[in-house]
Amino acid sequence: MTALAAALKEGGANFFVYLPDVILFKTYCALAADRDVQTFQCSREDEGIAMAAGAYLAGKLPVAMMEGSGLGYSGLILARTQLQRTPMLLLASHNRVLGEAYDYHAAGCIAAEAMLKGMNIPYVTIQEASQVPTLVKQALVTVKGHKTAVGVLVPGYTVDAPA
Amino acid sequence: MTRQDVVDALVAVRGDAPVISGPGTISRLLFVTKHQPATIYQMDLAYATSMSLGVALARPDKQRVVGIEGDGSIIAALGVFTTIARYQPKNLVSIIVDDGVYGSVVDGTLETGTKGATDLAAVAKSCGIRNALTAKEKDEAVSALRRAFAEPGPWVIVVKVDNSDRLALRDRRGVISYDIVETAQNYRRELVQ
Repeated sequence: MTALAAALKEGGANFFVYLPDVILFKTYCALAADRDVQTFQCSREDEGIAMAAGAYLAGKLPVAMMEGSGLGYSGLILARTQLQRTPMLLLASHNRVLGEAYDYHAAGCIAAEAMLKGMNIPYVTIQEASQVPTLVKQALVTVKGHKTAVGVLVPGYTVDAPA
Repeated sequence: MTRQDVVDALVAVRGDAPVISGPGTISRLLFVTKHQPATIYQMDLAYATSMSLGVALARPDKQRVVGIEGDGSIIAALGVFTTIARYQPKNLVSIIVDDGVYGSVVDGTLETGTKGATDLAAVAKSCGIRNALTAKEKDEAVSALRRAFAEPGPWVIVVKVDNSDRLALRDRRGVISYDIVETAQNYRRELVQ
């Protein structure tokens, strides 16, 4: 299990929706293999956020995992889930931090942070692998306590470390 | 068949099943016909079935979970059929109220794809949802809903309705006396507490 997957579980998250993504691949594979939690693949990120919101309505603590571009698709559903005071962690790879080698990710990188800022959704960018346990668990504290979405932006060089 | 016929058929079989209803007249009719606390009205376009899918997956051993929305709304979310097919939640019922138009726009006559060649039940079936069907008459809709609440799903029921009541129904905007925040909280309380 990756440190990220372990931190998500330790923080109480138990329902995961993802759109496949190379940076978060090992994390959602680890979660999918864990019978203590539920993990589902969606067809598009806004659909996944709606599914995550439904899981909260049914008593779960959800996490939506995606590339930053997926947040770009998700303005309307995030507005609705924020109005409904839906606790939800948003994990997004490919964002406006260092370490992005290819320009074809540039549009998604711009969209991700703009969406979080525009929606006034609190977010943090992980800078080093050692920050993963603390930042993810504390993000989940805010998710639960404030009944809000919180974004955690995950550069590729910070994930995949074993727990 | 009218929208009221569809709502009456749903209310008759619903029991205490939670319902998320899409934008437009179907939400207003559902509220006026029989309000139940486990109901979210006026879900934003494209998300009634998707959010219901999340509910259904999170509580697979519980009662039926219903998403109901119009053809214009589900056309904006067709990918969800592939996700439903992937996981085959037995307790999910998706009802598509298909009048072939974007009913809330101008005079309600702007056509959706279903006015032409698009067959939403065929789309759902080709995505892998075996229990996907079209009901053109009231008795077909009643029968389909009874089956959906008695036999394992997932179900996608496309009900073809005429649009003769659109102007009368549009005059009833604002009739739902709960806001979208209250209904979400009430829905969750019914399921979780």
